[in-house]
Amino acid sequence: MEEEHEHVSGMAPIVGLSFAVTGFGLLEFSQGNYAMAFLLVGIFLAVVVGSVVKEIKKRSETVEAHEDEEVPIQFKKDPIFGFMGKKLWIWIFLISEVIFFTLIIGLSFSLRLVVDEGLGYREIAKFCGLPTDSNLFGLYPAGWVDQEGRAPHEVLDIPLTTLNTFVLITSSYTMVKAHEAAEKGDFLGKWGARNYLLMTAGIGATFLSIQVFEYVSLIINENFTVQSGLFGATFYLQTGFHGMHVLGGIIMILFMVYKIQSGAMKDSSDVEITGLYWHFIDVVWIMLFTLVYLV
Amino acid sequence: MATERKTTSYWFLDYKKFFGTIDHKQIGMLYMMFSFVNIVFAGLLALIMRAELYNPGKDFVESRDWAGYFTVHGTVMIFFVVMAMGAGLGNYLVPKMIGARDLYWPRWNNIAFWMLVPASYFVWSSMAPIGWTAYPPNAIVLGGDKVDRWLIGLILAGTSSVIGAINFLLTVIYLRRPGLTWKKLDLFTWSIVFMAFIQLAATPVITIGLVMEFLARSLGATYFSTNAGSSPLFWQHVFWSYSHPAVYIMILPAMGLTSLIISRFSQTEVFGKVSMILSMAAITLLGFIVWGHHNFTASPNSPPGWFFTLTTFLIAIPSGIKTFNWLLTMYKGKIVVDVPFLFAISFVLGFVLGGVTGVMVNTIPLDLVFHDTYFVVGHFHFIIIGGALSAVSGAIYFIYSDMTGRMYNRKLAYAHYIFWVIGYILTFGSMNVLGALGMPRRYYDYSVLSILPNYDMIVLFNRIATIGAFMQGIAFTIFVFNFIYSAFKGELADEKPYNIAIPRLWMTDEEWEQLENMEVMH
Amino acid sequence: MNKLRRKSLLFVLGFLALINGLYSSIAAPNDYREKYDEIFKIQLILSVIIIIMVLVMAIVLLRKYKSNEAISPKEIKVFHNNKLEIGWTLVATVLVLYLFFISLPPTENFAAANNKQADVTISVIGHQFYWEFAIEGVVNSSFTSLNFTTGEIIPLVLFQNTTYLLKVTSADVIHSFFVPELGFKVDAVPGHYNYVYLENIQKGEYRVTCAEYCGVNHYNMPGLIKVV
Repeated sequence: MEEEHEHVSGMAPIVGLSFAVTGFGLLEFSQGNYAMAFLLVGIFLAVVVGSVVKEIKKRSETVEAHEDEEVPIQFKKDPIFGFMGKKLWIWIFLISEVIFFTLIIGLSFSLRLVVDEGLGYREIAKFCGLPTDSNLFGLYPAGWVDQEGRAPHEVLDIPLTTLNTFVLITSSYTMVKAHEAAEKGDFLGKWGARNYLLMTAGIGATFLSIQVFEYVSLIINENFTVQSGLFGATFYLQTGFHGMHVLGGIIMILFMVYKIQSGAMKDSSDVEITGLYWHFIDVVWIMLFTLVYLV
Repeated sequence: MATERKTTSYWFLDYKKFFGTIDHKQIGMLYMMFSFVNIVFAGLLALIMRAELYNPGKDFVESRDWAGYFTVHGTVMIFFVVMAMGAGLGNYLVPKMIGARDLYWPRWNNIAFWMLVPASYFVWSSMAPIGWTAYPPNAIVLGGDKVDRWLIGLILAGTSSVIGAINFLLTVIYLRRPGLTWKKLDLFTWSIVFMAFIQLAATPVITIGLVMEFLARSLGATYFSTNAGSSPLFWQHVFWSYSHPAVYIMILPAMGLTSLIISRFSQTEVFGKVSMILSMAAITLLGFIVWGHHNFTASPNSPPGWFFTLTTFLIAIPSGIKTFNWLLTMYKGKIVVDVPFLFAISFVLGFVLGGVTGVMVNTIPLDLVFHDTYFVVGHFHFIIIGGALSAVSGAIYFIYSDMTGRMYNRKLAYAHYIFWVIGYILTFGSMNVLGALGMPRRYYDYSVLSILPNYDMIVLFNRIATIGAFMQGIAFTIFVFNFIYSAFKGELADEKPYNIAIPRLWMTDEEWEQLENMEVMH
Repeated sequence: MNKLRRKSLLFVLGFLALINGLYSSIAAPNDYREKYDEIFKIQLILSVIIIIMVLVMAIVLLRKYKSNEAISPKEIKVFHNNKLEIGWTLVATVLVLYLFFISLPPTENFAAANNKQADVTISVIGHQFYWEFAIEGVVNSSFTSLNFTTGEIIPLVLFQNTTYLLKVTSADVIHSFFVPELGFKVDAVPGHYNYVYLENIQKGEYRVTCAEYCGVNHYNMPGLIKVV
């Protein structure tokens, strides 16, 4: 019976199949039923959160390490990857994420280079030996403006976003402190990892609320939507995907808090993994802020 | 002669195991079953399309439905048949090959598999008449939720493949047997490593593209619209810079399987192993910079076509090296001619036929005629059906006794082989001829081509293609029948089903050591 | 045995000669098609040689080393021959570069078509599901390839001794202007112009088809080029 139990997981197929619910959510979204869409995506998130919480609870009850928590001995001796230990997976995952964001930001910015006369595409193209008639990939210079002809600095609220950037950088600092505390083994103290993680999550949530406020005011006051030229379309693509990653990061941090609280946290590597992800999100935001808002 | 080691277990009849299994072999089998279900229905779509094309003129399918069929046929065959087979065989074989108990994340493995099921549901329910390339503006102006379903299905499939890729990489990096260095790693595991790398690096591209198309449809975002300064060509570049590497996601595991089978059945090691690995690396990396060869006729002057012609031609070099290495693996061997070996030879044949036609398609003056004609269809079907699916069928026969504890019926397997090879050569060979005669792909009715001087030939070769397709249909029916029937009624398998020693599969520790201390002969 | 070999060799040579003859006897109607025929012939012959080489190697090796005795993993041998591998890598590279260079000149011709001076510029506009032609600079010269009332195909008439620049675009979705017998196709992309330069076409009628999936009637998007 014991062995039977080990090779069967009740939660995994439920999580896997619950992606159907997200799928139906997206389908409702595409048909314009936003309330239904958010409900369905919410159900999906609830399933994921529930299963992770259940898993953490199960691990807190057992003393021995779970099978995917231990790093195989022969791996520790590996000359190339050995030093990474348990953090290897987040690095592999981050490769994919780096490619993802490089592409979003890179594509949007190259579109801008071609479409925006002001950024000197012709000079760059001449320098690189590319065709200068601006039809690389079939694009042409329509200007980096929205439907009313406004440039980025005329539409976007830059002081607010600068403030928001500082908010996010602060959260990176608290994340570093959380990791430091975890390294020392201080998880539950007043200045321990748990409290710093909560702080980070709180600041992250502040960042998200400011961003939502910005979106609402842009859409209502400025009539600036995804239909506002390539500028509008890529703006929402970049900041939207970043926002979703921040949300994911906050959920991940809250899981860590729960893990500390329930006593399932055995060493600092989980906090470090969360930290790596969080810092990655910060770096992406700084890139975005520079390329979307400031340039 | 039944042994204790192999007994038939019908684990999948227990619903708890069926859904919740986290054992790599069982998840591998789930992937294979999933892929079988999909190939049966997607294959039926292909047969319906070919039957409609047997005679010129409208027969029994409406044009719009027909367009839905080729979209779903293409998408399902790529994402839920060949890629799923790659993931399934990787699941089944990789832990064995590297001496691990299981994959590194057994439960994520289960999640990745069950995500594919809703993904395939969304693609199957879409029947969107857009083609698997979903070029805007056609895919964007189309009303209803068909295209949205298709997009959602692919986003889910992409997410699943990223999870699978991370899992495979972690497994190979973390869980290798002590002493099994990267150099000693066998070629199949290498091919899975390269496959996982492509999935990891290329899937973000298609996810972004799909999300952009999704937003363009649902919110009217202007990513591909001409009056915002963008262009529908932008999608083509985003799409192909994923979809070309995706071709290698399909073919790399098949290459690995072929290396495995040919070397095992020739009872030698693969000839030139280092060059095989380097070739795979070269194919993987070059695969990312060749996408522009899909756009020679879309925008002939930018980006520069000569660059993409050159990079694509360069891929022919590692492919050629691999082909000759496979052949020379037989040199001075003791070849046991059995079903899996024959299928591996069939892979080499399909790969060579697809390869030479690929070189033709890539030459711009020829591509100006061949692009988007049946020539292209014939080319990539040679690679994927004649190549990848042959290797996969061979591998399934190879591990059949280990999966089920029983032996398949050899006579039926040979019948499958003969129908399969003749079928695919007839179908895709005549598709190549059709393309050269000027018949564009995705044509529901070719009677409009009657003004072309070679119209008689077009009708003739369409008929041959249909006959070949039905031969493949018969072959696959035999395969599926053999697979299911033998699992319940077949003979119990011997310990050594092929009368050969099979290193790295089903091996004891001693045998592992012997293998690791092998001498190299010059 | 020897006889069989000689016979199969003769068969192969005969096949290659057939390909050669087939592509020399038909005169190409224009220079795109001529280039196509020339390169296709070379590649077809090379392909046939490669396929036959692979098949012969496979069959010979199979016959020679076929055996049913099992050996233990200990006896497994590894063969390795650097010279051979480097040799065929070089041969493959040379072959591939040769194919690349013979494909180059027409590539450039086609790509630089928009810089060429032509006597007449014709704009070709793809619609769902017909073509529209108009001569640039001539008012009211626009006509469609299809007569909507009778369903007749209206040809685009070109003169043999005039040079033409086709300016291809689309009004709705992507189409592809494909003339198989003239050896070219070019996509009609909305918001984007593609150019084709035509000269010295043999007299005759050439069928235009659409080669990019554009909707339900994709297969039935007729057009005709008539050269007089």
